[in-house]
Order: sequence, then C-alpha cells, then structure tokens
Amino acid sequence: MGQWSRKDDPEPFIGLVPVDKAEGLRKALYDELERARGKGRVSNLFKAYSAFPALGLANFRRLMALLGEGVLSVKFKEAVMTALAEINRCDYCVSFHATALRNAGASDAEVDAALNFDPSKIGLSSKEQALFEYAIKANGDPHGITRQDVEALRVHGVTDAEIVETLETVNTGNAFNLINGALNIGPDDFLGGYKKERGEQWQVEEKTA
Amino acid sequence: MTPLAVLGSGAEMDRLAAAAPSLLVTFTGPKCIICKRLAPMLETVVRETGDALASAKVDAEALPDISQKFEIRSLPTTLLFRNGVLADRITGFATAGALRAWLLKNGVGAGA
Repeated sequence: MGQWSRKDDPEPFIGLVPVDKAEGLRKALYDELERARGKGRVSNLFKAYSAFPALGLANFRRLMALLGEGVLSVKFKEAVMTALAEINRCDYCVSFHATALRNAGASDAEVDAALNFDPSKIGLSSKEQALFEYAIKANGDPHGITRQDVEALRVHGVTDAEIVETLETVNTGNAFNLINGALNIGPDDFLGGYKKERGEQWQVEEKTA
Repeated sequence: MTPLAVLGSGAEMDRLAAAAPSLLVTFTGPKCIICKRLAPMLETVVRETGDALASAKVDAEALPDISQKFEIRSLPTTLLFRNGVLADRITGFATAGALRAWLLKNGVGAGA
C-alpha cells in the first residue's frame, strides 16, 4: 500500500516483492533484515530498495552502524528521525520512527513532543536535547550552522564523533524519507497504524489549502 | 499542522496587526527552500500558542511594497507585532525551540 496521505493514488509507484517471492540478491537482503529484525520484518522501505539490492544492503548496513555502533541513545536518534519524518511529511516514516521511539522507551507524550520538535519533553539528557536542536537547525539550513553553534554543544561535553553521529542521523532520516515519499511507499502492517492520523490530517490540509 | 494563511495586501496586514494583540508574519517566496523548512516550525509554535498569537505569511515577491516597507532583505524573515507595532524579527531558519524562546522573550505565549 501507499502513503496514508495519498488516498487518491493508493499503490506504491514500484513493485514491492513479498518475502516469500524473493530470490538471489534480493533474498540475501531480505535474509539480512530478518536476521537483524525478526522473521517477516522486512520493511516496505527495504522492499523498495531491493530493486537495487547492493544499495539496499549498503543502506541497511549503514543504518545498523548508526543505530548499533554510536554512543548516543537509540531513543535520541529515533526522536530526531521522528521529527524529520514530520517535517518531510512522510506518514510511513512518522509511523515507523514513532513506533521505534516508543520501543526505545518513549511515552506517547514524548513521541508527541518529538513530533512537535520539543526536545525538553522527550525525556532526553541535556546533551541530547542540545544535539536535537542542533540536528533540527542543521536540517533546516546546514549552511546557516556557525562555529558558535558547535561551540555551544561543547558546553554539554559533545564530541566530534557525536556531532557526526547526529548529522548522519539527519542524513539517514532524510534519505529514507525521500525514498518512501518519491515512491509512495506506505507503512508496514507490523506498525499497527501508529500515528496514522498524521497522514490523514495532511491529506485534509492539502485539500483545504 | 495547519499552514499559515497568505496575506493578499498591505491593507489586510494592517487590519490584522491592528486587531490582534500579537501578530506573527513570515515573509516567504515560492523558490525559498529554507522557507519550506521553517514552515513546520512556525506552524507548530503558532498552534501551541493558540489564540494569543495571530499569524500569516506574505509572498515577498507578490507584495514588494510591504517587503520594502519592512526592509525585508532576505527570505525567510519573520516579524512579530505587538499591539500593532513591530517588536522584533528573525531572519533565516529557526527551530521550534528558538521560536518559542523568541516569543517568550517578547511576551507572547505560555509563561509570558
């Protein structure tokens, strides 16, 4: 299925091959996802990526490096990606990352705070609150970031590695939002429709604008 | 998030400024990418502030006289009027957090 916000064109713009029909390199990609995430948990995003399996594998491994090898909390990174999904109006991405944020320990109120770009209410450390603001600012205008913005992070003990980890979180969120948006990739069944109302609300706003 | 209403004239802006204790007006342009990224920040903060803050946006190219009147040199530029008088401005992108602090500093919003 396509994005909730595109009811007038409900199907993805490319074919998404089911797990039981995957062969060759596509199957290798799906197998890697299932090993990491569980049987049947091949997201529609990576079904789309499987049209170019090498890129799918590269991006999945990049995502695993970001989420598995960084020092910043998964909760922080999913909060940033939830906010980006809202900014980019990708309802699948909102549902996916809001679900992941909740799985990382966030309450529904904290998920809403991420959707409202309010790091003070997401249950993040002061360092991660500062990095959240930096992430949103860098996403808004990367060339508007100044040395003073970076120096302000140092007050919280932020390292170079943490800055790069934060910017790569922005990068990754935006990259996946673009694929989903441009191909009308809709949410996975296993997300249970969490935050479906965001996509439906956007469709209403588009119609009344 | 509901998009900000588009102002069609300087007279409309004057009426809104005269009627609302606090008014936020953002100057944008159709090719302004930063404006598009600022929009969700503004919409969120405007929604949170509620009736205490009126809001609108201006296409700077469509209304050059207003842009000149308020010395809009770059886009986006966001103006804040208090009791009909220009109180403050932000140029460029701002996070929702920065906008909340800016409004609070100017006496608008919860806790002001």
